[in-house]
Amino acid sequence: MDIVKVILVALLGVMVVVILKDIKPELAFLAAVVTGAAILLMILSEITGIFDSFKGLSEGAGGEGKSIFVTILKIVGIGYLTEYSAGICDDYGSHSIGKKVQLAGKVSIFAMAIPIFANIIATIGAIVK
Amino acid sequence: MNIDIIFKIAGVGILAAVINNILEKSDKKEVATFVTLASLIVVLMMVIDMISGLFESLKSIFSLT
Repeated sequence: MDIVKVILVALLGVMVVVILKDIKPELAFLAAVVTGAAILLMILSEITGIFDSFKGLSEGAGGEGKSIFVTILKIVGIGYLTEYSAGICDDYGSHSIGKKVQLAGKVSIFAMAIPIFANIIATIGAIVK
Repeated sequence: MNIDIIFKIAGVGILAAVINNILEKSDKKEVATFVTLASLIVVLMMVIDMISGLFESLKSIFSLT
């Protein structure tokens, strides 16, 4: 994964989108989605490497640490997916739909964060006692 | 790498535009709309399996489901 390749693919995608924008607007939308997906696929191997090393780090944190690490992983995943789709929605004029996607992402992230809060409060309570 | 899909989309788009122009010149408007729909469906077919593959691998990486 080198950044130069990513930049080239991005510029190529933007060129295709611009070409298609005036002759076939709906295909321009699909070209944008595909460019985003191609770039994402390129950096996927990088992300897996990073997360594997993180998993190794979280081994020492015991049972709780593992579940918290998995939740953090999920939150990062949801955050990224919603940002990806909201960006595409905003690109093609439907800001309200993009906002809705972001709201849904925030709600699901918050729902996942609640066990962590409970955990923190429990450990603080245990320390104070 | 799946950069060639981007080129395919561009090709289908330009082809559809050209065909539409020809059809409009020979005043067959309704066929032109069919060509537009057909090009859209062709591109959607190509894009769908790429996007689903991407989302499957994302789900497995982030252990989302």
